[in-house]
Amino acid sequence: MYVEVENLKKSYGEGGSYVEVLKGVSVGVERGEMCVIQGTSGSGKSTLLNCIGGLDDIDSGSCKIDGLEIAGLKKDKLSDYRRDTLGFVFQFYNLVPNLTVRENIEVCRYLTKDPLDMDELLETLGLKEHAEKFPSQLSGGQQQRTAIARALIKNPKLLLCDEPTGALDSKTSRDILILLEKINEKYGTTMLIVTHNNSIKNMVHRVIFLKDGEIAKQYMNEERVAARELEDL
Amino acid sequence: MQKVLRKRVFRSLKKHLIRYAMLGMMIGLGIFLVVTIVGSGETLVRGTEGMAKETNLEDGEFEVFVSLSKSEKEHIAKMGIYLEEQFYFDQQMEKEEQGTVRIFKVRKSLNKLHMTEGAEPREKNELAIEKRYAEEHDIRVGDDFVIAGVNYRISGICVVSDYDGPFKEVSDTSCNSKLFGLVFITDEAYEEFRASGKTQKSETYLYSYKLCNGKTDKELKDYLKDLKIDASEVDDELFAEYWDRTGGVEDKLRDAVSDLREATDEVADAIDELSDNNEDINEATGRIFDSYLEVTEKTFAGYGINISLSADNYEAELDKLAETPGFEMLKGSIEEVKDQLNDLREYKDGLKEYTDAIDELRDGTAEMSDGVEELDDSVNDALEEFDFELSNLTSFLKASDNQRIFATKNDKMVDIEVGVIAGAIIFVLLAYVISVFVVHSIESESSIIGTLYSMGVTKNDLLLHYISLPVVVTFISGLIGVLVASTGIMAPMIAESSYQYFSIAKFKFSVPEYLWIYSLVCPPVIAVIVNVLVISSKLDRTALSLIRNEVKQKTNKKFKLKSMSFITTFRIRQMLRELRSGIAVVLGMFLSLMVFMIGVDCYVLCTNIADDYANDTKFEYMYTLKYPEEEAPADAEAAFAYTCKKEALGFNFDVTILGIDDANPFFNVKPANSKTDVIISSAMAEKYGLKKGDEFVVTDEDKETKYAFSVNDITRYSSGFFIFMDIDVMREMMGENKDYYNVLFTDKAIDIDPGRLYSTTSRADVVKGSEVFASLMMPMIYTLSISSAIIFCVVLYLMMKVMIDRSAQNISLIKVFGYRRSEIRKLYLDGNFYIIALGALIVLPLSKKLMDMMFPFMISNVACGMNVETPFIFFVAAFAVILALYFVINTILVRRLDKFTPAEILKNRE
Repeated sequence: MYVEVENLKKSYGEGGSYVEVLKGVSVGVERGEMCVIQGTSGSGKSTLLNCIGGLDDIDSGSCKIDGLEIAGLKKDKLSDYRRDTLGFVFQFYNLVPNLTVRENIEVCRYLTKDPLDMDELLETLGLKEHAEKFPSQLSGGQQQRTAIARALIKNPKLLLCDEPTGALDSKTSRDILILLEKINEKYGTTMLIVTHNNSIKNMVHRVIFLKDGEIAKQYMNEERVAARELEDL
Repeated sequence: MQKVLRKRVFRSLKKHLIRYAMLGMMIGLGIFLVVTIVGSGETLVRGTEGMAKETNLEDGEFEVFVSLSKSEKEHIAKMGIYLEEQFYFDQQMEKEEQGTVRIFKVRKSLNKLHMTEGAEPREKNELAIEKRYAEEHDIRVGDDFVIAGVNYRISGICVVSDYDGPFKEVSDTSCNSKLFGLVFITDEAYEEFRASGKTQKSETYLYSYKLCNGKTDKELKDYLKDLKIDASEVDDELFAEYWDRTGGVEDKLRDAVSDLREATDEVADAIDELSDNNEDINEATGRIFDSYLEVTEKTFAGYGINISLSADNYEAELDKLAETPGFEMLKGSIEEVKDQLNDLREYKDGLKEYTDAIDELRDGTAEMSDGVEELDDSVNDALEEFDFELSNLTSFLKASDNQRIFATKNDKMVDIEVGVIAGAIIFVLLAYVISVFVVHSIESESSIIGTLYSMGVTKNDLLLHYISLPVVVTFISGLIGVLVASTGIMAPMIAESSYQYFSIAKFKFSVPEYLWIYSLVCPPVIAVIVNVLVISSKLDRTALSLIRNEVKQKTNKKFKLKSMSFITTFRIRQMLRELRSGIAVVLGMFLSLMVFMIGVDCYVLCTNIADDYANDTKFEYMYTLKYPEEEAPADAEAAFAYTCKKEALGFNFDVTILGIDDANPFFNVKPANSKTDVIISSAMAEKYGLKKGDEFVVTDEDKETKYAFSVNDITRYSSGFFIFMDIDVMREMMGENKDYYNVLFTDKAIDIDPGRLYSTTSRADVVKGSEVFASLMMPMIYTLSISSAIIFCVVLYLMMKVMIDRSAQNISLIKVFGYRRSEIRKLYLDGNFYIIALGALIVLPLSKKLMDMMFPFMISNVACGMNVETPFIFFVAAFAVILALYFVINTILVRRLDKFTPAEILKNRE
């Protein structure tokens, strides 16, 4: 397994405000797979994603990415791990407002010695004509594409997407999902996508349902449909 | 990555151009002022140092009673010390308002003339005149100038490094170029003047020296001290009179002992002579007595009576004969003979006693003679010990102790130190303000930073990025500031007061290398340090907390506000939420007040000195005497002053031990009858940080002795560092006679022969001296005060703007709910008033207190007390001004808030 999570537990707060968000979650994702993590609000899906991304500490359990145990890694090692392995896409694009599209992407290009080709990526993501625009001059979808391009430029092995279409309309959401599919195919990037959207599960290889911090269901999607054919986005 | 982010720096700069332009302007202004103040100081310091080098400034000077002999000069030359005669005459000008001119020959090698206009005199009817005196009397090259009836033409106007501060006497408190100036004439003209008989005072034999081959001032001084002269060689009647009753007693003592010795010898000789005849007298008397016995025997033998008589038996034999029957008729004659013999024997015995007494007298006289010889030797030894010989040296002054030399430099050192420190505080303040903006940016970009962290961007990458802007702003501002300052646009204004007081050439303003470095490096470095300290913790959060833009709200939990009204509760919570911003504003206020307090302390010190000098100086005249009369004038208070040295913060200042009577009306001092428990002046206590009970030591460099004292009391006296003692105790301590004095204090001018005086200090001089101090510092005080006030306004504006900007979103939100402007003001903005008011109440006294602690270090080279006590009304006024500023700035900023529609702000938030 490329991603191996074993009996992962995570809680917040103490005393009266103590909440156990993940109660011994175990999941595995193969290299090159697209995986959706679904669940209701508070089910722990974003927390699971953050733990896998090394953004949040793990109380107990194990989380191995390509054989690297990230539980207990020190700050700088975690930073190296994220730099070398991960790409992150969030619901809110978090672009640097006074950098152009190209420059926003370039910020992350310098994090790796072996980045993807900038122009090719811009072409792939349909951003070539917007390359010199500032985020405020872009639509939501274009901004999210820029955020994806920024995450992909350093050619990450694992792309973590937290509600990537959460702030987008249906058409733009579809475009983004088509794009993610295309990237997965083209670069073989393993993807973990946290979403509320029930349709997205149809386009991925693996689906994980979380409920109250536990795996309610997980399965391999034997009947994948192409992103462009998704309905009710 | 930095390459890309750098583009953002310039875009941020462009976006917040006004904000950064204001900050940049402040930094530029700060640099401009620092470079102008410090650069002006350095220009004068380096200029006078350069001129000292160019004109070959002396290492020191000394005066002698009698000019040095050829052999003495040769000896000094062999010691490796170069000497040059700089003899002079002081001549009171005919018009009183022209004061006194000091007439020198044109110097050849040491302290040479630097001509600011014209040329050195070549002809005997030409003279060069000192610049400040020329300015005060509007004298120009080519003008005529009459001294003692001789008309000279002004060939040039000059300055000399040994009169950088043109003090008439080295002990004077201030220069007065209206009443004192220097003139330089040719050797020929000088000799003619000397021979003219028009000199009013005797010539002063002053020598300047330059040390070579590692020789020290002390070696020269020791040699000069040993040069003795005969007092009769000194051509000064007043000295002769003084010497006669002081140093001259040695000769009287020697003469008296010599007379005694001679008389004793004569007596001894006479007695020797007398005693030489004793034996003859006794023998003769013995012989007479024996002859009379013999005659008696022969007489009795004529009568057929044979008797043998001796001194021992004559009485018994004659008594026996008188009782012999048949000699009844002779009994009367026999008794007569016996009486005659008795008389003769008594005479003989009497003479013997007399001659014995003569012998005893001779022995006694011999002993007396030995005693007188011993007395003579002892007196000689004692006189050798007390060194009653007259040393030719009358004064010895190292260049470093001469207040005329480098007077400008010593004055300007204050400007330099104050300027550099004020600049550093301004940079810290502005760097801090920038850091507040950067922190504001970081907080508003928190989710972006978190996202970048999640991608593997490190804290150091972003730290480097965020400090780029402060570095760029401070560097560019510094560069502009120093470039503008280097044109010297404001330098003349700063330096003018110095040019109007000191006798120095005009120097071209230049910025020394270190100021370029200071201007270009110091602001960015301070910006880096301050920003790293402030920003670092902001970036030290987890990616997740940054993405979620989590705000710590711990403080609110500590306060229970339930019993208060909603408005009050909300306002307090808002204040607590924005506590960090509030602290930032107060800290900004504190730092700008620190700069302001430098100006305040300078001003307060100057005005206090002027007031205190006027109030504390009770005498009208102080006469320092060279040759005091035997008895002090009845209308003057005699005192004994002795100057020692004491070091403070690396500078060695004169400290005067002043012996006074209890009844001295000019000082509020009752000295104890003790050599160690003394009363010190408040100025000395302030300068040296002394308090009652403290012990301290002063050094007598002349005698190479140290005196230890204990502070018995501190008296209010600001114009000088004084140690007050009882005059009799001091006389005894210093080995002076019981009537000795060398200073007179009076409440009116008294008639003293000028030849007896070292100097006369009037109360007006003292007050004027204190005012000079203020006028010299005033340009810097104004510059600092005005600039710090501007900086304070800008800082307050910018920091308050940050506070209000931070509340902008919340304000817009509650606007949406329907809150009115007055309510919004109560909820969000009135809290700021309390923060400012409370902050001002704390930082006003705090900044003053801190500056009062730092200030002595800034003016460590100035010989004055440290009375920086500020009237309470100043704090009240400053507090009122701060609040007024707050209201003005608040009004402007709140109006600005109205320009934003809630929709716009909420959209930006998304």
